[in-house]
Amino acid sequence: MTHLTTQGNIKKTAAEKAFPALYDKIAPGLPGGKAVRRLRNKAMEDFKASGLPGRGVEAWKYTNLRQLLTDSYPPAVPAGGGVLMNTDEAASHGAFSTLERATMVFVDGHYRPELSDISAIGDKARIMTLAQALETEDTRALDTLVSAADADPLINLTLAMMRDGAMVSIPDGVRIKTPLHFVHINRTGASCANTTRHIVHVGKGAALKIFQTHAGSENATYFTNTLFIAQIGNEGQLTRVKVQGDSLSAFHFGHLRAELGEKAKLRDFTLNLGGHVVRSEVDVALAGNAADAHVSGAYLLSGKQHCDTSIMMDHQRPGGTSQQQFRGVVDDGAQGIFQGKVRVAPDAQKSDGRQMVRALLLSERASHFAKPELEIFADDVQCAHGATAGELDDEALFFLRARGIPEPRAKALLITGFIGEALDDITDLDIRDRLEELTQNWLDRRSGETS
Amino acid sequence: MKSLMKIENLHAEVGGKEILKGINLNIAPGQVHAIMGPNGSGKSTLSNVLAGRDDYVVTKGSVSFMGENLLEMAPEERAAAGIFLAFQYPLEIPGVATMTFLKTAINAQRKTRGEDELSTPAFMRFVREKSALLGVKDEMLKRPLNVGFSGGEKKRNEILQMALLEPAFCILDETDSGLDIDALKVVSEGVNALRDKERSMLVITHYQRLLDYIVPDFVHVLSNGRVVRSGGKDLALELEKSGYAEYGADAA
Repeated sequence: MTHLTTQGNIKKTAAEKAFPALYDKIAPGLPGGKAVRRLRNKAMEDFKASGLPGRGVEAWKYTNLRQLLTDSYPPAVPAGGGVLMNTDEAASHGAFSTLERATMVFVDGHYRPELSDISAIGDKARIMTLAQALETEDTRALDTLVSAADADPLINLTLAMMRDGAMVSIPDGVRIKTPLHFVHINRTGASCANTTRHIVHVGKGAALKIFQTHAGSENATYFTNTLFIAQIGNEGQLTRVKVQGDSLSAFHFGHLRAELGEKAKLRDFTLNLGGHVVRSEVDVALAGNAADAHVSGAYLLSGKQHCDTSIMMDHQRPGGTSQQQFRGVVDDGAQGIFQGKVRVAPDAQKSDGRQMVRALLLSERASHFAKPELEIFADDVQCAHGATAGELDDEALFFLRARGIPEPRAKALLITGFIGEALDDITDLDIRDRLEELTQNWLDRRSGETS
Repeated sequence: MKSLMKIENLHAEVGGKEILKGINLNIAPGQVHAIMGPNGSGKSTLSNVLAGRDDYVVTKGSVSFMGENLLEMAPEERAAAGIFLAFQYPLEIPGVATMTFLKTAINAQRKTRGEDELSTPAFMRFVREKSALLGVKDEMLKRPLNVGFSGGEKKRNEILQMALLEPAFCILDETDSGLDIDALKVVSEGVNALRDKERSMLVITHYQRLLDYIVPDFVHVLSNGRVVRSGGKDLALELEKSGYAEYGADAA
């Protein structure tokens, strides 16, 4: 999403001053040679020019970071070998620990090979870490590092400060069945930042499934900023299932940028459970003819959580299809935000773009904002959007109770059913079960707190 | 007479308006009582008050069920104690699979009564057996609860729930509404199969037609929130001829 630099005369906030100062201090220790350093410097200059997104920046209309982000966070120090942690413990933080998968574990933003296991797919794919790629100035990595002053300030921050990440490339025609799990764990518990960049390339006709989970020490205040860049070749397919369970005091910025070739497919689902301030962003460029993207998700919010989901579907070529399907459950004084944009370029005829967001408000103080946007420059297209917000249906609740189902269980059934509508694209029942279980755990915790 | 449910001087209001103005009914185990009456006489209010709906406020009177004070119980406690309301308009609940709902309801009631939960195979056998009797197809059970069901299918699904939950006291709230004659027969047969000497029923209807199929032991006429006349099954036939005009409301 475009960020306009309109803040030339505005006084810098504490965080806006702190990030460049922090960068000057840590830059020498960040991975990469001179070429990488130049790109980092440029990104930080771009960040300085734009500042944080504040009021008046349409793409951040409901999430004013000039106000919400009051500080910068020092990068997390590598935990080193002194901290005992085995694979089981790391895996237990992830939602998918019971499923067969390969793992890449990032603790406080640092890749931990001794906790990871990529053997299940390692011989079929090219996998390295971003830190390795930067040190060797791998051109595939460098190509994705171009910054711009009008780019999103958070993306410029990831570029300047990135420490590590996964670099995965699936050769043409290779379809990998075993999912690859990016496990993100915040361990220090202290005020710190981790900045991660994943670069995933899916070759022509290739297929890959990714789990991405985020978890952190309870109540720790930290800042996590992850940019996931995906390039999907012609007729390739990428599936990503992300579960964000960061600390309820954390700032979570997660951004997926996907570019789809001809007849390429993206299936993306995000469950947002954690975080104090969350921005969950997915930008899809349907850059080849008849590309097909389904981006869906759910967010379950309570307390004072602020969760902003922003989606951009850019139909650049003819015959593309896209769907956005989101469900939000908002309790207490929490705030849910959904911004969904469909853009159809002039020659992207026969595009089909659909969007639906529904919110369930469980408390009078809960709020939800939905901003659908359509920008259509072609004349032969089908686009539809819808947004609803409401409370639990009293009639349905009474019906279930009159059949003997106690009120908390009846509410849970209705809420699970509501969320279930966003899970339609998840055909793998094991994964679906895990997501339903997470929803159920959230509900059990809620009813435990109120009863 | 042994009593299963005893309603005494029951007054209730909805949204500040008094609808029930002193109902008295005594229902013994095994008996089927029909409540007839014109629109607005309080028939559905009575069924909702007995099932425990929140927005119906009892202002006076009492209801004792198996010797317990029914009015103090939450809807789910009433259900576990043996009250079953077959809804006039069964709810559609998207996202909740019919089988999940049935299993949750059966096991919740068993748990409340201190019984063991049914295992999945035992539950499946039980549902198959009962649904075959009511002509409820597997395909219906796989769908979300009542979503896309016809009027007749929804009512059959209600009676299936009744058969599975084996309540002591069934309230049928205008179960005949929206049913054609074939569906009415199927539903009535399902209800009649559940009649026994312990189980009582309160059949609420506007029309006599339902009572050709579910033959009551007693008929009560409700008008303006009171029972104004009680009699045997012949009273229903008499009403069919004369209409409700003499009971001070719209003709049927």
